[in-house]
Amino acid sequence: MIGVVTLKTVFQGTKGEYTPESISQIGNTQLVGKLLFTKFVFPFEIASILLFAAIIGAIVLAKKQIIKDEKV
Amino acid sequence: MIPLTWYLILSGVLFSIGAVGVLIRRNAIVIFMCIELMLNAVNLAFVTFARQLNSMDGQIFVFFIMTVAAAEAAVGLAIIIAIYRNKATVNVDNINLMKW
Repeated sequence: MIGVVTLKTVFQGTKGEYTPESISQIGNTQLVGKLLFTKFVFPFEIASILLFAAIIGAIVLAKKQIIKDEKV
Repeated sequence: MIPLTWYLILSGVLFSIGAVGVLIRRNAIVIFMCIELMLNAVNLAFVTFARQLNSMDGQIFVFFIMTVAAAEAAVGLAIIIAIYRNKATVNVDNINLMKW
C-alpha cells in the first residue's frame, strides 16, 4: 500500500514549476544558487553551523594525541 | 533519453552494494566508503525524483545531504585516526570497547 501511494505521488503527483527546458534556459547552477539564497537560506545557514561543529569536532578528536606525542 | 526508472534501479543497486559492504566488510575505512556509497545512491534517487516532478527541491536537498556527508566524513575519519592511535588497528572486530 505504501508503495502504491508513493508511486501515485511520484509519477502522478502535482508537478513543480521547473521543467527541464526552463532549467536549461536559466542554467542549473544559477538556479540552485538563487534558491539557496532565497527559499532555502535558513537551512543553508544551519548547514554552515553543522560544518563548523564538524570541523571543531574533527580537530579535537585528531589533535589530542599529537600534543601528547610532542611532550614525550 | 534514458528512462528515469533506470536511474532509480542504479540508485537501488548502489545502495544495496553499500549496505552489503557495511554488513560483510570488517575494515573500518571500507565500511566508511560503503556508507558514502549509500548516501550518494540516495542523492541519485533525489535528483531523479526532482527531474520527474519538475521540482528543484530535490536538487537543493542533495546539496544538504552532501554537507552532512562531508561533516560525517571529517568526524568519522578523525575517530578512525584516534582509534588507530590507541589500538593500532582499524578492524571492527577488535574494536569492541563499547560492546555490551
